[in-house]
Amino acid sequence: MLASRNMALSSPSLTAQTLAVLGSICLDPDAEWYGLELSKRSGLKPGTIYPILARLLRAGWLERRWEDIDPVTEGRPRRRLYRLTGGGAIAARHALDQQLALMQGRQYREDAKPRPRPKLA
Amino acid sequence: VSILLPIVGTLAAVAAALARALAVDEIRGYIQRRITASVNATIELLPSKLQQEWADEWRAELSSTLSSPVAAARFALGLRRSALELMRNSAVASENSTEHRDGQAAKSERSAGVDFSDRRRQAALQEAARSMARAYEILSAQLGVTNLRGDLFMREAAICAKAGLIWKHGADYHDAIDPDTGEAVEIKSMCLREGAPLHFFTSRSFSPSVMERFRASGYWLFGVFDDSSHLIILYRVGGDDMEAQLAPLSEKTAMRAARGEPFLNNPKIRLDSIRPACTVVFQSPDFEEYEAASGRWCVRRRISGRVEDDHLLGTLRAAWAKIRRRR
Repeated sequence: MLASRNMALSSPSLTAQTLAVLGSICLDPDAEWYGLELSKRSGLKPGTIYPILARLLRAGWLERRWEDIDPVTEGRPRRRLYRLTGGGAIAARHALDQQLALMQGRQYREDAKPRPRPKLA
Repeated sequence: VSILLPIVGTLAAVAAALARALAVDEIRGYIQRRITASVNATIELLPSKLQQEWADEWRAELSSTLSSPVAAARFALGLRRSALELMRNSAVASENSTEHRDGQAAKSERSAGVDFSDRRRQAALQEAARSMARAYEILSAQLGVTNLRGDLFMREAAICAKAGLIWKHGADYHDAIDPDTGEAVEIKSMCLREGAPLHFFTSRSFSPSVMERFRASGYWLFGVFDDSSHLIILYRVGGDDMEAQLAPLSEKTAMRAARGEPFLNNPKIRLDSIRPACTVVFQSPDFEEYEAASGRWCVRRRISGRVEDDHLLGTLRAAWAKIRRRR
């Protein structure tokens, strides 16, 4: 559905980890993040975020660039920064909304289930 | 004593602090070197294209965590998992770039593959194959086990390594993908019985979807193996040239489907029928093709060549001893 709105986008597989990453980015959609920082914010194990980033990049939801600094002056190597693309921001928000609706629906159904009566002594 | 004791005590404390600091620095340096080496090894695991994409970024991220060895070690462990997943996804992506892409994306996300165009993987497989071949030889020569023909993965992997292909896992997919052209490759193999005509089994349930997969293949590879799973000869036939073989099978499949009968079970493709169209990709110097009296093409061990088979060597020695005795 979203892909038809923006032909450059495709839909990556939205696992729980991918949604966690998207959720972290969507908290500040204009910001740029580097991998380690993003995995900390998403609660993923360090070093495990790159396949997710690769999938989101391939789907056109994210874009990346090398940090514009002088490594000698800063005393550290350049980082690679990721941020949502225009279409990616819409798609991510949509995916998160859908997931939220799904979870709320499930919660609603669980609440609606009849609870077992306590046994009488 | 009252003057010297505090001085000696202070000196000892300074020396102990210095030694401790040096030891801590040394240990920390050692751990950091080990972690860096581990990350570098992980990067080297990747195919060159992925290395170019990720190496600098990972090294940069590592340098920002190295000051905390525990965090750096966790990062290095995570990277190993990432590398494996990226390699799997990369193999899938190369498959998706072929015509096979439509409607297969969800399925292929779950499929796994091994890229045998990488020389290090070829070497690793060769080592595994050598060990397994040795195991087969022991089983056969010392234990008399004869049914050593079910090692389908090793056969397919050996063929992929020889031809530099990406081996694909799962029954719903092509056997392999050519990383250079993106073509799907169908692999068939058999174990040689000397003197018997060569034929290759196709599929246990020859359904229309199998036929579709066969027809979508860019080319076919037919491998012949000996009892110890050594590749003897490897033939290649173009996808178009296979149509002559597939057309009658397709007709039979359609008829059976129309009648509601079970699909064909493992129809064979004879070497004679594909030989005019095939090219030999590899041939062991110890074996040769020959045309039998029946007019069929067979493969046999070259007597004049290097003889590895202990049993055959023993037979030859015994025959030679008999001839010498007669003289």
